Amino acid sequence: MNLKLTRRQVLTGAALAASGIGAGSRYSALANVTLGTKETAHSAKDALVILFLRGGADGLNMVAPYGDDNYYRLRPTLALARPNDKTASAASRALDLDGFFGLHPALAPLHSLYKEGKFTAVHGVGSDDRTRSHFEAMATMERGLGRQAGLASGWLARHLQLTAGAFELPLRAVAFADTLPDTMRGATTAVTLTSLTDYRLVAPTVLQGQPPLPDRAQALTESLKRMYGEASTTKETSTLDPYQLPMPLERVGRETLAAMTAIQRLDPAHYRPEHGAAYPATTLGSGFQQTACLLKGDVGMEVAFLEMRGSWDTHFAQGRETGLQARLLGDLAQSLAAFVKDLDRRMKHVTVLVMTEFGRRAYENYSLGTDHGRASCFLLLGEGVVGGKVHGDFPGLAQDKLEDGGDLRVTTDYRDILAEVLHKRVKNSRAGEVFPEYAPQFKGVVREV
Amino acid sequence: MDAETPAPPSAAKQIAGGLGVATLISMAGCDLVRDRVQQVTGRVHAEYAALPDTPSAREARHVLNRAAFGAKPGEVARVAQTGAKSWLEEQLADNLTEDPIVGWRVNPIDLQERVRSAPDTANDVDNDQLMAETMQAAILRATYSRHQLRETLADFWTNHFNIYALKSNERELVAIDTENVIRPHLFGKFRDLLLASAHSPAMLSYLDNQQNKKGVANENYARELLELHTLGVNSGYTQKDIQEVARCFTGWRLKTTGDIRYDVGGVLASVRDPHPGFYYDSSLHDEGAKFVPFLNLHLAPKAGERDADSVLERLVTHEATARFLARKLCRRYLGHVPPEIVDRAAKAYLKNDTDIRALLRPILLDGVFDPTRNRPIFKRPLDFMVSALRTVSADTDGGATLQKHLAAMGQPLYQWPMPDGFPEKAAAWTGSLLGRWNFALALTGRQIDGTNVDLEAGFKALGAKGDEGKIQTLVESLLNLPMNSSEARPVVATLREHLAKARQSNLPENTAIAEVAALTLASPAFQWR
Repeated sequence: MNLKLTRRQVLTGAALAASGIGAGSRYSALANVTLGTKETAHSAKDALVILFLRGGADGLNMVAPYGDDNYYRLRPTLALARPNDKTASAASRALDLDGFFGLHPALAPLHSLYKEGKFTAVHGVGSDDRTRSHFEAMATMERGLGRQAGLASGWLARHLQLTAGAFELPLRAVAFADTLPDTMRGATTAVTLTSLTDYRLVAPTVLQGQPPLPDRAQALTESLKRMYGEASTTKETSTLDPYQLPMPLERVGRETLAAMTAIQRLDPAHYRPEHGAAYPATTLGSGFQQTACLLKGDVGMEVAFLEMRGSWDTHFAQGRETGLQARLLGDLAQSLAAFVKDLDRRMKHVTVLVMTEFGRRAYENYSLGTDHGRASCFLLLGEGVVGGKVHGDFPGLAQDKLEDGGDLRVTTDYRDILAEVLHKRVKNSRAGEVFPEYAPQFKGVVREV
Repeated sequence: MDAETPAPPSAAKQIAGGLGVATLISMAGCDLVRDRVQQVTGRVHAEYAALPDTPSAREARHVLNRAAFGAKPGEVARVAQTGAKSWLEEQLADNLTEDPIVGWRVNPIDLQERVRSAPDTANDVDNDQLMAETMQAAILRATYSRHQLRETLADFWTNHFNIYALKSNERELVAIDTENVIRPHLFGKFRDLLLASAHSPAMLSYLDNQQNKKGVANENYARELLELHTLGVNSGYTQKDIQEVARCFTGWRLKTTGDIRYDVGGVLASVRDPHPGFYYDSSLHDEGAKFVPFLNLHLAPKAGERDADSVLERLVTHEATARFLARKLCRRYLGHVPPEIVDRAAKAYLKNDTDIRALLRPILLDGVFDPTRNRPIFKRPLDFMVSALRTVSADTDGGATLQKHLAAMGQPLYQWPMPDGFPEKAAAWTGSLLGRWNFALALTGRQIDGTNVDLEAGFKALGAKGDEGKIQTLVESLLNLPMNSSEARPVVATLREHLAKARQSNLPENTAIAEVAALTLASPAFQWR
């Protein structure tokens, strides 16, 4: 399976057919809209911000089902106190959402957004992957599949292909990460970076024993452009084999140079958050601040991808209202709250989706943590969310309701949420084609733009 | 064996027995000359040689790209002369007289001394220093060691048994893991490597096996043991196997004095300590009967510590493990997975009692040398950085500024949080180009503290005259590609134009040359191995 594609093919039908788009797909909610043409550039649509919590975030302690007594039976040490539990300190209680679910106290900054109808959660979300392996579950979810076997490209990459215009802006899709996430694998324009300010060529200015030089960055950039403008000498590329580059290296180089130029115009070093927004001094806080910088700069960014890595894998010493998970949730909530404040009216055109590869075992283990489970919850933030309730069909934690004796069952396929957001908020009228082999059902989690 | 202890000359001769006498003299001669110069000056010394435009030079370049971190100056010519197969046999024998630079620069590192003589005191070292010194040793060895295949394997196994150094301040455990788990076993029996890893303080801590108690077992280590360390995820085991294996490991502990505490919602849980070490606590072991279906392993009640021993033994001798390791090594050295090579390697591994050399031989000798069994491999940032340091014969201390560049390219060593190690997939690294370009500029422009480069030395040694001669020398000695080769041509055109313009703007000579050298290392041609 070594499919070689040219850029032209990628942008036309050949690549779509090869990657499964359009061929043999089934549609349900999307059946009557799949024949639509590409959106015009002027139609109102949201920018999409995806945050992936890597490691399998424990949905049962993010949005706790305090109304289910089994929760307390299964988690004698880790369960959060009920919102009205007067025996627990106020700071340790869950924050009530709807009389059944309560928000982790470290997510307090999102509680007010929930009350304003701008934030909600979907519980019982997951994929068909039952391996409970991080890497299998992530590979499945990032590629938009049910189980592992299937397309090699990422679901965001397919979305970007389907909605590509004649000219692709260099910053259409940005991943704040050390390495390109699989979600964007195969995207013809996707920039990976950790710092906008550092995204520039640094030419030596002083050589030992020499007077300072004029800035050589421009001259060097020109030469790199020339060198990477040549035809590729390595023919081997493949969007299907992840061990090969998805496109010629020369093209990767050209896109890196184009992104560099666009970012420099933004002057990110002088970006100041507005409206009193205070981002936490964390990698995530900085990621959201830079996402805001790109959105306000109107550089044509349609998709931003952020990730928190590793620590959500709370096998040991997970903590309750304080501790390991609480610290992560605090970072998450403060970053999101600052982002909303900073963007202010621009939030009208932004949807943030927080996802994770799986949830954790309903019962705690003997090392005060939780092992790999099945369903978790996804979070949605934006003015387009249908607020006022927690979405999803929560299957409950009674013994006979658990999968394989210990895991929250998956009652909402994660693709239902992704497809609905893509279709209604990002205005991809062919959202169903992003998930071939699957018929997404809209759950009413967001409104049409 | 101490990695930096030079073998006695007689041993080196015995190992290289298959090589001709003339070969031995010419190779040893070059190393001897270099060693003498280095001993006198205390600096890295390069022996330049013109690049031959021959098939054997092409082959030497390829093999040095795959089984080493690229070529040093003149190395392609030397290996071409003696034959790349002999070179590879020497590498597999792994018993050369070490380049003295390695001992001089690695042995005195504070952390190295502590791990060797007083591991208990490693925890006293400042956290940032621990991290920097562990990385420093890895970079120095990869750059300067004559045992290049060994160093590529050190990188391979370090990622295979990945430890995240920042999980809970376990930086000193990573250093101990590198020296005592990975390096002594990387060419030996996989059984010994896996056993060492299972008992490693760093692994016990990283995958929570030290917290695994009877009642409700902690599955973290059991899962990754099957999925990432041995069988591979699609081999057919199920959740039931993981849970049973997890029970086998209950009672595995890490000696703790409880100085580090986690706050668990008001409950304080102590973790581990300044005197790390494995021990087994029978009171925490699940003594019930166990059955691991996939391994067809029935364990009688009250088998105690033997439960885990039985599991580990079944795993290392399982065919799925043999095939999983073979496939992964094929990707590292061949860039893809030819089925017939996987078969041969897996069989040799099982037949030779989990021997890693036996596993490697078909991949390297039948795979690397057969052009039809190789695909292009995009260098990871560490490959790129070390190959650049080697090709310009940089004199480096492997220190903090250099390490910052590696982080900017996306591969800060020991800091990949997930247990699968830095991505093998080329597609993951498309975002690293800018970082590579900036490193190339900083390196040749001598902007990196503790790292020096002398480009003029190469020009002098090879008699490069004028701009065209210098460009030819840079292309042929840095890329090891003949000027008129199809890979070199686009680079050469850019270098000519850049240098001509630099002359017009009266750029100082060393700046102009540094830029042209940086562009050579920044070129598409240098990103592949």
